[in-house]
Amino acid sequence: MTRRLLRGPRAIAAGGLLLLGAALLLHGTWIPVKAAVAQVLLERSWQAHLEGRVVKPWPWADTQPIARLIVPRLDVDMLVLNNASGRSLAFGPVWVDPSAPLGGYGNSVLSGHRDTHFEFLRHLREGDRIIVQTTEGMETFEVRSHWVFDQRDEYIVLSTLDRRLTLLTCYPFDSIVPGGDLRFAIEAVAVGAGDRSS
Amino acid sequence: MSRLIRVVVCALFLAGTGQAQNLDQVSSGELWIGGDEQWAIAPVLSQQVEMTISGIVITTKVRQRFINDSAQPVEAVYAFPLPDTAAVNGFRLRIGERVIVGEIREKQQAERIYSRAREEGRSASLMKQHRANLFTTRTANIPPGEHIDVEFQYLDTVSYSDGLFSLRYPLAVTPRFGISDSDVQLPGYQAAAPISLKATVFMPGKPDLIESRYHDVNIVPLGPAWEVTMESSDTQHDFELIWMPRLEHQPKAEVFTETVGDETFVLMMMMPPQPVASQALPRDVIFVIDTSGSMHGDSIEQATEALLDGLSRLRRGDRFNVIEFNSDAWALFPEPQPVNAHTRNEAETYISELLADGGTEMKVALDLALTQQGDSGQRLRQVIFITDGAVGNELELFQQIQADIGDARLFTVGIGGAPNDWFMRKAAQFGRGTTLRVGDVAETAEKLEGLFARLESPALKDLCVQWPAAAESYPQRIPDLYLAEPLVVVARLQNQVDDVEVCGKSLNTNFSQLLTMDKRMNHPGVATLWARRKIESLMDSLVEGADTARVQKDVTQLALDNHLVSRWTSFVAVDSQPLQLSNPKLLRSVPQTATPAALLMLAGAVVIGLALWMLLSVPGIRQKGRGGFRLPGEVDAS
Repeated sequence: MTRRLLRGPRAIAAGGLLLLGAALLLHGTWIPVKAAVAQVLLERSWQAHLEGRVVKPWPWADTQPIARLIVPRLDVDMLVLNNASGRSLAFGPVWVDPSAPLGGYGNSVLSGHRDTHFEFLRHLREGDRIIVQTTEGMETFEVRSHWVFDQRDEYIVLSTLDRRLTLLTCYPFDSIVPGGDLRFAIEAVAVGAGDRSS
Repeated sequence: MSRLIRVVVCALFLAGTGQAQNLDQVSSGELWIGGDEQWAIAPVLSQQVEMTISGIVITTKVRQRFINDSAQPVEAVYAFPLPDTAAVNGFRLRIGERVIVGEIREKQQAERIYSRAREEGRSASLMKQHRANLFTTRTANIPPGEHIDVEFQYLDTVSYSDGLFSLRYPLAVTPRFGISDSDVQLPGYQAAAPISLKATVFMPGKPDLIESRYHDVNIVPLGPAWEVTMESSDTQHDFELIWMPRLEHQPKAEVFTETVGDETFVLMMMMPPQPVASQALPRDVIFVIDTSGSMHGDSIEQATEALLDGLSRLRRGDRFNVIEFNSDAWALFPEPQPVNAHTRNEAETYISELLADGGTEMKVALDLALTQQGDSGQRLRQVIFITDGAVGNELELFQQIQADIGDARLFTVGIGGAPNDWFMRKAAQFGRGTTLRVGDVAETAEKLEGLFARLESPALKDLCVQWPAAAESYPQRIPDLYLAEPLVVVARLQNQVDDVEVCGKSLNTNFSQLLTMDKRMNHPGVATLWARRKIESLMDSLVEGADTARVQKDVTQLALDNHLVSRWTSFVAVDSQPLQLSNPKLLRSVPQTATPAALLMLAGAVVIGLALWMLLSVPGIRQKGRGGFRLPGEVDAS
């Protein structure tokens, strides 16, 4: 019986399927690995950026780290990229144009994959501190609220009176299929500068 | 670059001065404007105020005109004070010929509506309350080269003191200091907005006196009323109009009613009885004087004069002490001292050397005055607190006063161009005393004379109003009645009544008066004032430890029902037509942010599983024949 299996065209088809399955698995596994590896490669480019030099994270890179995002309680420390194409999202969370520049007034919006970099959003609680480092310096934000919305009928207000950070990702977190119109948002407000009583 | 305002430039404006502030931290009477990432273009603001006074109800209509002389649509934020007893109950936006009526909404909902309108390029305006006496209007998308009028209306009652009626419209501003921001001068555009004001006072006959305290006005008779007009850009003083009706017509108490549906709202204003020869009790008088930086200049001069005046009015048998506070507090004597030439001298020297500098740590001063002055025994303890009230932690201070007041009475004396009236009045209320506002150096002595005379006179105590059953009246605890100061009580009655009895006790006699209600006269506004007082009473209950969620729910409902701006409700008006602009850039869609990793792995696992199943279950398929699962190429194989 085994011999027959190894020979027939049916066996060839099954072997092909095995190979396809392995390739799919590998591809699926590669995505989170790439997400993690990219952050390591970005680190060198970020250090150069802080010193005012431009160093590409990898030779064919079309994106640049522009800020560092730190959540002390969750041990999150990652680099934020400047280009919100689907490609950059594979390597890190991105700053969304035309939101307020990081470190400036208004609402700065960052977006990241719900199953890699921004998976931690589900663990953020009100009151958590988020630190954003740019070439301008460090700024601390405090998480005020989170909500889920349908991106077809709501949009994010960019002109706010304060310095604000909105972190966006897809929702629900555990959905197998990518896509869909639900988004999960974290809203954080700058504390520290201008808030002398705290 | 976005054609819309991407950042509200108030923030940028302040950033330019090196101070990051939000609206809670700024002083009143300030105008900020924004444009497309430029804040330097200042739209002109002008104000038009129309007041109508009938009986004791004032209806005020304010029109703020924002002019945008730039080429960009801009947003303007205007923060301004209103009398802290005001009930804002009307709001609209006028763009050219179009009028957009504002709607009262739960505060956050109103903000969302406003933000969205702004993003969509529609003209919109939002009016909300920041503190009890600080309101803001925010107006988005003022068209380039155009103007927008923001109009609102509020109700208030006239004040009556020492035989004079008076009303105020706040024009002056004062910076507020929080606990740790004591010596920071807040930046900002001091609104030197040209203002034109018209007040129509309905009053039978010619008044003995009608005048404006600080501004030049025109007064002409107009039928049964007097019309007062003023044009000015003086923001040194608030506008204050005083008038004295002919004394022979002056009643002791008046009632005003308004019927809404089957409910009757009643406003009772009770004038104090004529002064009687005073049988003064010996007193312990604790003078507390604010010497913080905000008191610098005229204010400290006024305050010193007030202190010296108060000192001179003390009598043999009284005891006194003087406490000074800024960043800390110091007492002249460790305990109140008897009045004699020696202590008087010492105090006068001390007072004349006071300097205004440093922060406003009122808490320490109150503690020193209320809990560390020994025992007064049979004496009447009166704490006279002289300050501009430029503090940011009012609630905390009210709690402290409520907890520590004991048998003492707290009297607040508001000094300076724009003292924090709300703080003054509430502090006195929690301290079971009264408040006095001194607006100008020249009148300090005269006004204080009145206060001290009042303090020396016996008060009418244990006041009661015999409302019929099912009446809901405010204030719930009726305070003592001091001479030359009226008492206002508002009530909602479920059923019709003809008269109400008022009673009380003076030092040695009982007082009582029967008030008859005239239902033929409907006084619009009484119901609104009742709602406003009820909201105030609910807000006060927070200081006494009421459940915030419950108070919020009650206040929100009451405010929505009565179209009132409150801490939890705002007015919002949105134009239905967007401005004709090139496409505004909006964050309308957000990127897709999920990887196919899980899906790929799942598919991989399924495909491998399928392959394995094929390999292991071939015989099964064979036995079942060709009706089963078949792969391409399988036909050839068989």
